Amino acid sequence: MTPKQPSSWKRVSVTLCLLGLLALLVAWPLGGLFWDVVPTKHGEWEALRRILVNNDLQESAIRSLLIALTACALASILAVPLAFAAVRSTPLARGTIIALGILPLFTPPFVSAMVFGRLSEVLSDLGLSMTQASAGVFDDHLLLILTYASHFLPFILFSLLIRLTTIDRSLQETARNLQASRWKIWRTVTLPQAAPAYAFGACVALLKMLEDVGAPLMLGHNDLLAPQLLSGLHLGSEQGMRLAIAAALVLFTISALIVLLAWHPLSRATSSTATGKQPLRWRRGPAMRLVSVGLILAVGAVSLGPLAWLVVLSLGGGTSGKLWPTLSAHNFTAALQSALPSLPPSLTFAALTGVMVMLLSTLAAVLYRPSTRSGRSVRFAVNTLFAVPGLVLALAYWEMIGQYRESWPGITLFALISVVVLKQIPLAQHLFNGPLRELRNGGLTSAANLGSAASARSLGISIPTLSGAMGGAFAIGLAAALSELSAVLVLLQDREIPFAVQVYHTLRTVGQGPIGAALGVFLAGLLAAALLAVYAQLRRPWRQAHPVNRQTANALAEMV
Amino acid sequence: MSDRDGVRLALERAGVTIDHREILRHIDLQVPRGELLVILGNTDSGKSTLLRAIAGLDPLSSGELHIDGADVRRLRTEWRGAAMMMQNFPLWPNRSVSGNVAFGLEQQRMKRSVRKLRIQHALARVGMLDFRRHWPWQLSDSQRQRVALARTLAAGARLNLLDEPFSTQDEQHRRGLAQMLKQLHQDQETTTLIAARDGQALVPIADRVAVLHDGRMQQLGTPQALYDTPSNRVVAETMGRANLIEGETEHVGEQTLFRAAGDLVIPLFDGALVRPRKGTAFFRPHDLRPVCEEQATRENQVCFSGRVDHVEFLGGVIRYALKTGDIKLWMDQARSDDPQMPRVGQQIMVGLAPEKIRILDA
Repeated sequence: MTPKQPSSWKRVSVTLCLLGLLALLVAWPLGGLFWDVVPTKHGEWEALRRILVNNDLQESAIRSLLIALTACALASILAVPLAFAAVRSTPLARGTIIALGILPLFTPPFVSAMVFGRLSEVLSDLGLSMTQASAGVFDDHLLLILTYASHFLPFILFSLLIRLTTIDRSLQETARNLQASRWKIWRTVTLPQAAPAYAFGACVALLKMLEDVGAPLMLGHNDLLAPQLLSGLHLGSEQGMRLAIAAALVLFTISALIVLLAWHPLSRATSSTATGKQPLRWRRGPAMRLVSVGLILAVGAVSLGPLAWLVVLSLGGGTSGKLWPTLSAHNFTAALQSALPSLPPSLTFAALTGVMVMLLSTLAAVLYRPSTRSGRSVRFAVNTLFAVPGLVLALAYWEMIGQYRESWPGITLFALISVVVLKQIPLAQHLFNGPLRELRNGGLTSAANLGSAASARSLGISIPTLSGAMGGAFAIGLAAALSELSAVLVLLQDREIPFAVQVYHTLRTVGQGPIGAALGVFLAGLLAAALLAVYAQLRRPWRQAHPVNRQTANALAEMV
Repeated sequence: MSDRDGVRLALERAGVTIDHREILRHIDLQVPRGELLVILGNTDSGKSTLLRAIAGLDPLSSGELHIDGADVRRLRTEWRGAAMMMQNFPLWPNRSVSGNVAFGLEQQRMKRSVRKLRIQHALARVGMLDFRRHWPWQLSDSQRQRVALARTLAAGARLNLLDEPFSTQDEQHRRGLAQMLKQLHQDQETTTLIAARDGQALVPIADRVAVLHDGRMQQLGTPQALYDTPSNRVVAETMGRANLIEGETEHVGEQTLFRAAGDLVIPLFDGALVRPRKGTAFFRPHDLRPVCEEQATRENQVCFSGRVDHVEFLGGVIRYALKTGDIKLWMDQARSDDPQMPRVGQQIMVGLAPEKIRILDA
């Protein structure tokens, strides 16, 4: 049982500052955006009703939701058995699954979409149409679904894998001792433990798919909710702005409903019951081995395929309907020349974002205490950020800073950083669950009992313990800033900075495909470096302590 | 192994190797049906591994394992009919206290009303009936352990394997639960193996006791046999406080002497004659009595003269620690109002009959 604890005035005041900051950066702009569409006269009500019941908007919303749900289901079909296979397989096989599983995160969705698009063109020329495979159910959205399914597969895979590796093995062993069959153990012990983790991964993936604009635009699908918001904004007219705000309202409502339905898995830190022992492994028969090998091959195809195809495209292959016309590394030189000027400001922007994500997520995680009202308020406020699509927040900022954009150019960059940072905090704070649990389970109390001063406790115990998670949060912010496109397209529109926008524009320019693909390879390299930094950070200090720590650290490291 | 012998569990030269480390070696054990066997041993002695191997959670690397005469080495855990309570007493967090206890009964497809009754009985036995609607996270460690015990016992398996069932219980609960376990064991006629570090509450209810050390079975027998005639100093120390004096035996004429450090010489009774020259003289604290020199000579007792170093109060018994040169001796005396009872710092003479001294392997 967790005893109720009084909050110290210092903690309450820092909490209030953080809550105030979130209100200022989220509630105010969003309120301002939606307040504008609240009608004041009879005629305006009618205009709003007309926009909201607009068939196009309704169809877009339904289509977006269906595509996201289908992609999520498709990713789950591979990710769920893969996670179960990984947790019960040999360390080598598990390492292979993890290494392959993380690859889709190296390419942003719009790059993956381009890769799938070009692949589809080549296959069509060879008489193997991918879109026909959907039998007309999703018209020509199959490529988009495949893009999302492959890109967001790691979210489900690693979220589930972490949970499965931290389930206490003796919970399953006890059930076996009480004569429960494998099916019964899976249904009554494993599934209830793993289901929230699956829901977490699936919901985060779903929310990210709904707010993504890069992949639909790359594949030419303007009939989805997020692209409609963007095209409404780009119209520049009052009618266009009204359409954008209406789309934003619908997108926000759908996201909020998803978060509301999945509040429990999104908001609660899954408690690790790990005992440091390997997860329970059943005796593996030939059939099980065959299934495992099949799953590894499948994830290999899904992960390595697009990356390999991207490299082929960057070398000049896959163009003009021919698979290998002339392969040349010249595109890389051209891409490097065009990328060099935008890299330093892009990296500065990414570093700034990383630092902000690190600071705010650390603060949010440290302030959270389930036993105090202020702690719970922080966790509640941070988790509600899941419900705010970055695209909608960017639109709110665009609307709010409209008149200051010309006179103070820096405010746009500030708005962009705010959007990217605010979107990463809810995810980044989960990195701190493990180390903080260890600290609160006795580390700090023991030090205090031994007469250690508060400053010594911070320097000697808290900061070293949290440093891995802090580094991880920084790298998450860095990776998010490097691959962010939706918010950039709203706030900066046609600028070539950050780097992801340059890649996007180059890929959409006729005749620049191979150079765009080469830029995509550079971007994938940067993202890979950032994500490997997260992994390296999470394997640092506190994993050394004892087996429980090590296992949780590994599990967290695997997540990214 | 035949089931007709009335043997529920039989292990023959069983060994367990995990990660290239030999945890158990050459374990021979036969447990008759209806017996309550307590396995004692220090940390890392292999007690838990032995229970896990019997339950089928860790495979045997060598030897044989029979339950009711059937070779179960290749039989899955869930089909062995052995219910095990784990050392860390895990409870499923998604099930209430009642739900946890019900789990084993659900496998038996019994009527809901009967199941409910058995859950209530099981929880009442461990004093947790009032908590049946609670969730595991609402319970203390001690309460969680009692629920895990109730869950294991409620399953009514033919073989109960309990790993440290009372480790978090206070003394009062320990005694109460031990008595409950004995009673239940007699009522249900099941076979129970209990692994524990501390046998204080468990040895009194055990039919037999086994002592494990470093993965090997040291001795197996009734509690009294292990207490009085331990095979080595590990068993002697495991079964209770013991006086153990290192030294070596030698024959002087027709008499056998045990010569310890500090020129302490103990004449041995013929029955204590042993093969090894080096060994450990062993006797229990209650064998020592304060004596005067005359009485010692008259009764041919072995005497030690020492100073009372400190006194431990054990309720009905007072335990004295005596310093005799470099040797520390323990003496238990029934508590009395006698003003002549030894005091701390007092020089006293204590003695015991030579036949009480046993020489154990060094």
